[in-house]
Amino acid sequence: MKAWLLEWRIEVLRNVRNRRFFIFTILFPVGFYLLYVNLYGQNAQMAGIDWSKYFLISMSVFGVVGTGLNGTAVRVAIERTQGWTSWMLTTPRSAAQAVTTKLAANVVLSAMGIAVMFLVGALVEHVQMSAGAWFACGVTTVFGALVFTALGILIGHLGGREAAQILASIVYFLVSIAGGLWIPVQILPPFFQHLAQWMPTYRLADIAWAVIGQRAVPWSDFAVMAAYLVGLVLVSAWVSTRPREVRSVA
Amino acid sequence: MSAAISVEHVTKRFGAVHAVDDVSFEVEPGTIVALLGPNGAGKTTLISMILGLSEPTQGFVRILGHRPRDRAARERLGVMLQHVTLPQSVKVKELVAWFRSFYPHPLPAEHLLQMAGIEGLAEREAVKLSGGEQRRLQFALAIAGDPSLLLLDEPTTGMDVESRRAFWDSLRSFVRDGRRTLLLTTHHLEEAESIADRVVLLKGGRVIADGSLAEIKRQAGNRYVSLIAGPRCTKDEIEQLPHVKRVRFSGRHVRIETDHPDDVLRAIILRDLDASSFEVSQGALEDAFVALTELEDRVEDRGAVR
Repeated sequence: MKAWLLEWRIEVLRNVRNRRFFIFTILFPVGFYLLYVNLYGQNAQMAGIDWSKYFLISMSVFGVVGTGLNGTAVRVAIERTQGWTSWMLTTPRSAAQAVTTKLAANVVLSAMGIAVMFLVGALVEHVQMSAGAWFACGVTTVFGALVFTALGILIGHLGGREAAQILASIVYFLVSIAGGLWIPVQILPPFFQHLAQWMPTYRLADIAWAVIGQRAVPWSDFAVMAAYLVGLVLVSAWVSTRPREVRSVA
Repeated sequence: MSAAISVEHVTKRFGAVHAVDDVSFEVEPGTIVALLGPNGAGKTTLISMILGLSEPTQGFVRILGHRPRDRAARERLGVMLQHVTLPQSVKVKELVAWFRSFYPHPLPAEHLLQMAGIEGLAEREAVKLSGGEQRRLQFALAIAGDPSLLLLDEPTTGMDVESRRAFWDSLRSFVRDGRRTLLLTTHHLEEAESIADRVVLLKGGRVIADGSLAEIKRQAGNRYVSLIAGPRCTKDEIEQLPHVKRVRFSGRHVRIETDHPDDVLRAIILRDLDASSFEVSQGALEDAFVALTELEDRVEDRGAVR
């Protein structure tokens, strides 16, 4: 347990010290949030919710997608292709520890990102919600982020450093746009509204939008998120245990 | 006591290529073995099978009496791989603490840094160290668990001459007490020679020589006594010495090729020949290496002609 906690702490520190964390977890979501809220005005409404609230959720989810995908995918790809993972396999460290500490570290990072987003929303744009609503939105988003961390780990297993970086960026933008995080699906053509129903990004944000809009949270939101998480973890587990051969070059 | 490493009829095929071809050897506990061979000899493939990172096509490997992937084996194993990129944004002292946490009885952190000669770098970010410093850090991490078996694949890659010397000194003091077994590969043969008890020479995926340093060198020759002959020393006197294979004169400088340089020297002294500036060579491993790998090529060429 001590070893697990130590590795968890190191995983958190590694990420926080990295410029990538600042850009994707803080700078992008906060920047876009302030820009778009001021562009459309605080009094705008979307799906019966104040725009400043609606878009706060959009950008909070966008932030955890970036945290999960960009940092994780590249890191896993580097570790896997440049000897580190092989070296670790020769130590008594369990494979489960490697995965669980990464997931748990990303929970901390997502929480930090969400905390900053919510503070900006509350203090700069004067978003007001009950303590219960803040808490419910925060917690679901932080734990929903596990889906994107799992997706990041999977992408890291598919290619080398360059490939992982490119693939992670593409997936990052696609799931964000298709999930209605940049442009609300309500104002998009029906095709995109149907597509969004299958996106973990839309489903995660929808939980918080439902809480804010004081409507019942659709059970299908949880079902889709859970299906993604289980599916991604299974595929990652399969991909990461595929026998890989070390071909001699020297 | 079981062997520290036992490799039994191990073969590794990549498609039609036999990277490792029916290799067998055992390493007794407490010995230091150098695994040598030209590029493409199969050293890295063999090491990755010994470490359990890849499975042999045929045959099997045991380390410390266990299968390589068993936790019991890995708790007593220390490893340096050939190419490893250390994780970004992690400090040296954090990496050391991280590795120590894997093992039931780790060595003290200060001791590890000191052994690797990187005491002053504990607060630095690991990936920002120089190549040689990173390699020494990897050594500190490899010995973090107080291993009884060390496997080092090209440990001195990227180190400058001075770091290399310091590295071999600390490695030597680490394995000196005879409790630890060491298997290493290196391109610097004189370094292998300075530390190894035994050499396994690999070529084309097969073991072409296996024995103590003295045995390997004897197989390859290039042992001699050289001296400067004084005015009273005659050519006959030199040629009549025991065990002389060939004598080469260049001016007063004489080089006596022999399989027993010690006996030749003893005879020169006992017969009180007029000679000075003695130089005795027991043969260098490098010469043996070249001779044996080339010998193997000639045998193969002949085979092809036949």
